[in-house]
Amino acid sequence: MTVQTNPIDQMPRIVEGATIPEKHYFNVEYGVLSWLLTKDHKRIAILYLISISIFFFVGGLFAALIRLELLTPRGDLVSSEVYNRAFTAHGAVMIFLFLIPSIPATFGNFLIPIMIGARDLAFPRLNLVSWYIYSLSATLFVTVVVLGGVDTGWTFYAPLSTSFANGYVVLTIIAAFFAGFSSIFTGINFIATIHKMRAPGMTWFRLPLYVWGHYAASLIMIIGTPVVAIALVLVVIERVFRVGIFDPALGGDPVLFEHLFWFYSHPAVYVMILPGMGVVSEIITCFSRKRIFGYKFIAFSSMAIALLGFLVWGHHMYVSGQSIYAGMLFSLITYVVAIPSAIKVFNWTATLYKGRIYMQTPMLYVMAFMGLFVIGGITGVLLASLAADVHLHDTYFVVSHFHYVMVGSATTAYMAALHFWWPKITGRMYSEMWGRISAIMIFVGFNLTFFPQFVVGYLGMPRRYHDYSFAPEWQIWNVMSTMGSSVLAIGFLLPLFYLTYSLFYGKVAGPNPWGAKGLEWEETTSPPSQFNFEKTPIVTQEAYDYKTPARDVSYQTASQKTINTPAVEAGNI
Amino acid sequence: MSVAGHALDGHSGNHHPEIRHQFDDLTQQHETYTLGMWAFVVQEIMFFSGMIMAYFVFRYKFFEAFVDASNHLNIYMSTFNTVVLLGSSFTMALAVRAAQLGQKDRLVQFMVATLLLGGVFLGVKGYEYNDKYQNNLIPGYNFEWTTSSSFGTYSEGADHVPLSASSGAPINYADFETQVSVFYGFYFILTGFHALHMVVGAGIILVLMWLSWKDHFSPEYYVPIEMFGLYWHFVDIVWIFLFPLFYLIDRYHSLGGH
Amino acid sequence: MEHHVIPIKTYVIILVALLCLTAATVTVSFMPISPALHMMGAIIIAAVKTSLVVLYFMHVKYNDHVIWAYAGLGFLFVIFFFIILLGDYVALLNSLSPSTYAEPFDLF
Ligand SMILES: [Cu+2]
Repeated sequence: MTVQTNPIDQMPRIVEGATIPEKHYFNVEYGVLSWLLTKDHKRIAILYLISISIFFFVGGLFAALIRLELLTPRGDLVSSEVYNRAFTAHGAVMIFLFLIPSIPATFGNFLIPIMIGARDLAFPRLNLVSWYIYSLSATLFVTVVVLGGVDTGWTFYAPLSTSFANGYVVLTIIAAFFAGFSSIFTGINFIATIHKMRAPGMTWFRLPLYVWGHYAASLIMIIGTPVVAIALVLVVIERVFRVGIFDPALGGDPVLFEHLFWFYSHPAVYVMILPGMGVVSEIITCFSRKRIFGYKFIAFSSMAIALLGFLVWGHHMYVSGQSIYAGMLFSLITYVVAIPSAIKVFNWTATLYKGRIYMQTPMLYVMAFMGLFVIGGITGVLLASLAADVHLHDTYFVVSHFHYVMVGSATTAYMAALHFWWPKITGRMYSEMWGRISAIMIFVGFNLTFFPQFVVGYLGMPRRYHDYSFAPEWQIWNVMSTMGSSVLAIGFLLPLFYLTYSLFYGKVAGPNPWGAKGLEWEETTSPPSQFNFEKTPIVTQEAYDYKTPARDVSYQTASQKTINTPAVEAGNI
Repeated sequence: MSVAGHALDGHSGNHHPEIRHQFDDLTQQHETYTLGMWAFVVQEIMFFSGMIMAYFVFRYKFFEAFVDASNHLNIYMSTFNTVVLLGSSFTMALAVRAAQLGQKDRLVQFMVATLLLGGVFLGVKGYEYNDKYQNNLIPGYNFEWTTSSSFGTYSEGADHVPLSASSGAPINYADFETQVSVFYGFYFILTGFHALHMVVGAGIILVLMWLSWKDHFSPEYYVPIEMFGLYWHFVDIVWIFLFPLFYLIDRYHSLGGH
Repeated sequence: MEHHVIPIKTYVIILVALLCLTAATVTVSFMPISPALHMMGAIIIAAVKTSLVVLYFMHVKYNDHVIWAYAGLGFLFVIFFFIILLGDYVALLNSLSPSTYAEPFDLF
């Protein structure tokens, strides 16, 4: 590695004359089959990246339709039937095909083996199978949308879904079921990998926090997902065979469905956000050139969130007819689960304190994440209180709250990860200027879209209505929201262009353009070679060994490398 | 740290043909596969727990109907089946032991025994299903409940009719026959999923028998046998819970003793 | 590669224990006790049988702490899940109709 002393205000630190290695995972084989039959975790990550990007924009199209309809109080653009199908498609595609696999299946897949110093995930074939299951699920979703869609909402509440809904409920549920199993297999793979495949010296407390976040999310995947899978299977059984389970007319219990559904679907939020929090921990240390503040607190708070997250599902059901005792218990535990999330935010803020902060694109996204996550989290605490929720339940306040968490936080973290590891994945830098423009547009557009929804929700606008002509005074807020959503859409479309451009014309990044710490930056080329490392790395230091700015304002030089590769022959690669 | 140890062992000349490229040695591979299988078992436990949970809820809601209905299930056959399935779990455990010791013939024999016992279980189960079909006890398809309740007719006796706390009026819950049909619905769903797991297991064990016969396994490498053992024992555990929940509890209360 | 090989005798003892517990659970179901105790008895016996299968047939007793943790993990969450959800239903139905459904603390 060439020693380069760039001025401290220059970031990224492109080493002039850096080249892309001759052989790497991308060009080691050619041809469609070499991709469709690959067992390389990096190539499978690319397959996922392409698939979920497609479905992100598909889901976005339905969002655009929803926002256009709400521009005027009257339901004049689409009929209520079409509107119901549009928001169902938006929710189902975004949740099952984008958010759940977003960070784990792409960046988790790509980076976890590299970060822990392994050649691949524990079960490469299972990894490929999980992508095929995902694709099957996606195909089924597309089929449903083409055939005309469903109108149950992504929640499939019974007895609407079992007895009354029109459309292809069974097919949609089978698609969601498959998406769930794709996620379960990813979770099993990560758990086995993180436990058993770490390089020598990579102890639990030397793991990057990113890996901790994925470990916690994987636990949720294997514990929670099967429960929602069986709830959906029971819906299909009731709908097809008319066996009484959820429909009161057949002797069933509709609240039971909500219990089974939310037992997974609340923790599912943490499947989306925990890996995102891991991304933030990685980027915030790198771009403030400081060791993370409170490593163990962040690591354990991930685990605490994963475990406590299973005990709060009833906060979705305060007005659904659960007992008052359950309501109080769920409210209390929901307050408690806010504590580990807050711990993380405090620790990130403390990491920034007196750091040498660089405001490159990934860091801009991380800053956006912190602000939006705090707003999303605090409104979540508001909604967790029983009395307030009776007023706010099923209004746009809730819609806005969970978009702050899922788009404002999870998707922003996804974009941060995309921009941070893009040079590692492709070997090339994107245009920093366009990156910043798009990050700022996403931040501004997002707030313009969703902040008015807090207001209009507080004023009482119910979610899932396509006509609010009974309250035309809400229009101003909806106009603001729709305007914001177009800014947001452009912000999300821009990366499509400049990232694609960078693939061909971007500056060669070199192995470590951010001067970052971690095996993926210090021990692999960009893009990494087929088996990641030439030799199994041996880890001797804790993660994030950035020199504090007071002692060394510049970045580390090659002579201070913290990770050595003694002459240990790598295993049988 | 044990993990560190394995990776360092990687160059010790251990080049068994069954080591996948991502592992350093057979020990690491064995441990990783076992852990992965346990993570899968956790997933399976949660999968069944959702259904068993729902069964509990309805058993509490429709207590009399569920007791009546469950006492019409065949206790002799189910007890026999329980013994058979415990036996097949036992032979599977012995098959794994034979694989550990490299006793190929005994490995195949114990797997054949496991498969046969599993087949007996499924046969008895099929007989029971057929019995339900003959007696019109398939909810959603042909369902009739003619047997009178040992608790008296459901509509008799105001204390059996749930009253709304707010209005004092009877809550319009499903009638007794519908409640019994919910029981049979769960009976078929849960035993059906259990049977489905057994059928899948039978398919896998056939493949494993073939591979063992072809000398595919050795005392160093028998991880597929061990993983299948974990799966088969898990299926056994599911039955350990289903058996009392569906067939047994509250037998006393149907004898008129409540 | 040293894997703990359990003697056949242990397996036989476990099988006999499982069969005895099966007999016990059948016997309990005919005993004149309350429905709640019937349920408790069935669950406790099933839990003991499960532990025997998990510890010996599934070799958890001879495995490292990670396998112990994962063997317990699923059951732990099932217990959380059941306590909260069934507690909710007992409280709810009892508050709707005290005459039909047992009090939460009066089930025995
Ligand atoms: Cu929630």
